[in-house]
Amino acid sequence: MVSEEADIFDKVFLVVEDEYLVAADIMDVLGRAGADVIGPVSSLEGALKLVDEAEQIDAAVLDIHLRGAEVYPVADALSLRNVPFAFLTAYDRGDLPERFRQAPFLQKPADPDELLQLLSRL
Amino acid sequence: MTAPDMPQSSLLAPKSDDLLRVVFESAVDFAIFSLDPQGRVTSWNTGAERVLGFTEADILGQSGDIIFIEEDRKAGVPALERADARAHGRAEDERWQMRKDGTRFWASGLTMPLSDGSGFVKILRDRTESHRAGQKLTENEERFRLLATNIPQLVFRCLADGSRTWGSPQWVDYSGLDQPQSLGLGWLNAVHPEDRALTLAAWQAAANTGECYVEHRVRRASDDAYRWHQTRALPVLTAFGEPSGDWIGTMTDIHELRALKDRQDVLVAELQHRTRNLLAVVQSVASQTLRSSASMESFGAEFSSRLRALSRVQGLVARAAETISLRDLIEGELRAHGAASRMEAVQAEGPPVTVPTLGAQALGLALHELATNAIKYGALSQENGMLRILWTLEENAGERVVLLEWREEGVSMPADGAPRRKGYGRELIERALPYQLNAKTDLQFLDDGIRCLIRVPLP
Repeated sequence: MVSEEADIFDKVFLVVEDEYLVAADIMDVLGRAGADVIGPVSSLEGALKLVDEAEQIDAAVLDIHLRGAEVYPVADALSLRNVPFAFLTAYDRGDLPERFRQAPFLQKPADPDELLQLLSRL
Repeated sequence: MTAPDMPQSSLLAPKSDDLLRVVFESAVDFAIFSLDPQGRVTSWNTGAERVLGFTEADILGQSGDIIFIEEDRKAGVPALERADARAHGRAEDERWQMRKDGTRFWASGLTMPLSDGSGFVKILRDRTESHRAGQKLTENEERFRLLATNIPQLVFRCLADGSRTWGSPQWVDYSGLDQPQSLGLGWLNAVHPEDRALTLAAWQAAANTGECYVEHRVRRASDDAYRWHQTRALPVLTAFGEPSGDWIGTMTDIHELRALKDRQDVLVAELQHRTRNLLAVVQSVASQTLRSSASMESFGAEFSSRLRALSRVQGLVARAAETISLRDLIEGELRAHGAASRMEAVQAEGPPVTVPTLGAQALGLALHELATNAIKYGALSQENGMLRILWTLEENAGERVVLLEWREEGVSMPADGAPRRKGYGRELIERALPYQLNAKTDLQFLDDGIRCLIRVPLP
């Protein structure tokens, strides 16, 4: 755990999640590991704006279903910037578009330790 | 070895007249008799006696017309038959004939003129059994035709490879393809282009499985709509259980059924999605509760109380489509605490307002925290305390906003400022509601109790 915490210490994570309580959990996990958070942000537009404007994003945690929208444009924008990301979602992997099937993926409800390990490998 | 005692066998080699006589008499299944030019009987074999019931003595010299049924006699059939035989050398027909006892039987008959001009020979055979079987077959075919052309399914006959030999009138009507257009694999033109390969594969598989089953879209000629059909076909077996080479099948419209099933699949996926999200929220409530709990006992009590609040909101959300009633949400929360509090000190009033289900969870949990604190430390924990929950609906410039005020009065606030600590309720009000509902919130700790303002813009 120590080495993994070190992996994301001081890194800047974008958190996209439309449920505040879940976002709060993700921020706890990141905060305890010493990472910084941009967001959390609950909408597709808000997330795209942050990706566009933020000076530094080292990695991202993306919920997929955002109030009637899906997060994929954000994932595409991050890919363009070579920013790694992981999906944290209630979807099944099979529900994802083909181009994201191999992306790092964790299903809700996620184990905090597992989330941390996944994020430290990004 | 020899047989010297055997005479030169006259039995084995009779004279030809005798031979004819033997044949004539031993053909017991055939009525063979002769008639003079006027139709009177001149000879009558054993078969005739058997088949028609008249003995030779009965009928010799009598008119042979007696074996015709009355209708035929009146219509002059016997004479016509003889005239026909004379004209063409033979007259063959099948008709009902009559026995001595008046019963009828179906006979196939052949009448030929005798070459010496002395009359006619007539041969009759009782074909009643096969006639009945034939009639039954016709009836069966008619029954099949009625069934195949009147059931709501499209019916077809084909070979083992799906090559069609017949389509019912419903098929022709539905697909707009007439019989010649449907024959062979012509019917495939009415199947959706994307489903044709699948359909052919089903027929290929049918050769092995002995059954064809495929669901595919079939074009309805009346409106060019492709509708889902279930096609099933089975080989037709002979009476001996052998494949006849003929297949028979039906195509059933399952479009609505399929739409329902698709909708069910969507709902199941949606339910699974919601359940996982809810579990993630439960996990969050558990971890947040755990962090602020001094002991496992207090964790247990608080967590289960919050779970029940979550469950109440779920109950409302599950019954609603897009929005839920704010009054239901507030009253549900108050009722849940009713037994443990002074409800007479509570006033809850406001117009009918609905809030988006998306934010209902956070709002329900926030109200739950407010109510719990009111019972533990606030207006509902003290004799002089009063709780007023008032909400209004404001509309200006096309924007609709719900303004909710939670006001506790007559409360002597604790000196240690315990409720002011950054607790779960405060996080929900100050952070979750703005995040989830775009709400503006203000939580004030006044001298005589708390005041919480929640401003929720409605979509």
